[in-house]
Amino acid sequence: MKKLMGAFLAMTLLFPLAACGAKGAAPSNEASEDTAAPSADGERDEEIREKIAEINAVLEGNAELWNQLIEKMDTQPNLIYDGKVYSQYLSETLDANRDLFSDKELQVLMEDIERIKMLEDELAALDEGGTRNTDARDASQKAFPAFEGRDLDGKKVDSSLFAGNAVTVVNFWFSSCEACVAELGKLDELNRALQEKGGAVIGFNTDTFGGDEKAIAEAKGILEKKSARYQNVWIEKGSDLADLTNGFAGYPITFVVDRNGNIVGDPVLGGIDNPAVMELLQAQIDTALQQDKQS
Amino acid sequence: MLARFRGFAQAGATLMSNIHLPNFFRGEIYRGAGKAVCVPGLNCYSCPGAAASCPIGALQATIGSSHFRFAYYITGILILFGVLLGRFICGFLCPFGWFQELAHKLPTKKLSTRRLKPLRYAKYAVLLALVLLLPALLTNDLGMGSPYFCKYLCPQGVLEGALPLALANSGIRAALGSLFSLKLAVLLAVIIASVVFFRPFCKWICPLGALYALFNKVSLLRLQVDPLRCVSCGRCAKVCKMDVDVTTAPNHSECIRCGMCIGACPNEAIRFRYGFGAKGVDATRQCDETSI
Repeated sequence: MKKLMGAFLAMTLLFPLAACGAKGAAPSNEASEDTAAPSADGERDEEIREKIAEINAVLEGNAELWNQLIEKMDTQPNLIYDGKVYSQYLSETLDANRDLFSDKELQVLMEDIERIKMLEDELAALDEGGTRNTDARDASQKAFPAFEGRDLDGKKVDSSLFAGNAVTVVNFWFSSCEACVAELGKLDELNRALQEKGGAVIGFNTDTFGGDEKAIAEAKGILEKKSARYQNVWIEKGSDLADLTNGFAGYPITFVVDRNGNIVGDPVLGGIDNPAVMELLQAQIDTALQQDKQS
Repeated sequence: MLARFRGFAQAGATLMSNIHLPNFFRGEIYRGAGKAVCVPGLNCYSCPGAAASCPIGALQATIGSSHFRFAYYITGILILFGVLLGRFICGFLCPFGWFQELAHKLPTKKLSTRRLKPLRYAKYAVLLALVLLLPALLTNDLGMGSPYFCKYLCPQGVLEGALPLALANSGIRAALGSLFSLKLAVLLAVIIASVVFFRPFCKWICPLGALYALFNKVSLLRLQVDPLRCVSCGRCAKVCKMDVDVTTAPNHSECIRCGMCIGACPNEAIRFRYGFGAKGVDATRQCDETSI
């Protein structure tokens, strides 16, 4: 009898591992794709670092002259994020401080700026490759799944919208979720505040996935009642992003996505009508805005 | 005979109700087709392994919905479970019932609940107020009601849902606040009470138990006492941990069909019966028939 129970128990324990096998395969595939990219990026990162070192070498070549100019600058933009800005910044500062230097010195500095500009172009060409991931420490940046869909008024929307915003706050909710509905007003407030900084909030109502008209009508009704005017998007049910939502442990859940389509920090669970949750979210928004300013 | 395997049945039911074991490590909830039906026992929807929905959770979700008129589907399921099995579900198939019994195995002084019988009515109040009325009446500006029992009282939700999810999922961990503290306190109180009393939650608080209790008298699964074999020794009533006297009330609403009385009876006067036509006390049987 005991052997039979033992065998039965063993079989029932194996059963769920088989049942969950199919679902389990998907996340691990994603993981292996993520790790494949950095090794190719590793070489690029090396080249990028070399270029930056060359730019610094140019500046060091005429250190005494450059130091005079640098003293006139109140802030120094970060060289690493977008080299293009730096040469322009240097030439603008030089223009504003021409009287500090003799004509010959000016010529030397302008030649340096030209050389730096060339190196920046080469940097930009390297960047074109994969993710704009020049920070070697940050190899684990996660991209928000690419998606294409429509908003609740039928207009086409896809993940290219991220490039147009300094930061995008992506909120997932569904119509019968009380906590989700409670925060819609606050999300609209956040949207208006972010729009002034070049950002936006977008919402995904999982009930509307697949384009169910009744669900879309219901979602629109709720959004109107809560005066939430920001864009809400629906996508097809089998898509990558839709599959991601199946794995969420709870709703509402909010992601902060930067201009490059990468997720900043961890997703935040809970309604932002709770100040503690809003604090967490705001910290990530601020990080994303900061990073965007420097690039 | 059935009662000997009750522990295995409870373990098996707990496993089958929470079959998606890998989800415990992923910190995710199964959201597939299984969630369209309910398990018979009290098993949280938000348990990572949960194979189906919680009947009480589903009831509140339906009643709390802004479209609510009547919870036809879930009421139907509960009537089906109640009529087919009654509180046999409590005794054999409920994971939280099993959990309380395991806690009760801890070797401490045990207190009897015999004098606390009035507390039994509290679970009907929980059912009526937190599960049925409040989600329908206490709604937000969109007509949506909260699942008040799940949200403020259910300890199974903490044990199976919040704790495993918080362990594996950092997002959930970060979201834990004062409500979690309250619910954790409820869980700890129930655990401590379960060590000292037998199944206190089932007796005094569980709304699902209250529902099934109402069906015990009309359930197809019943107990039968043979009056010709019963010698009124009283051993069955003494051993019953749900404080039921099976000889006077074999299908009492508090009987969870655990079968301890059957084991205690010196004359094999008590048996399980299933199906139509089985009466509680069979007065027409002949003297010389033997029971199976």
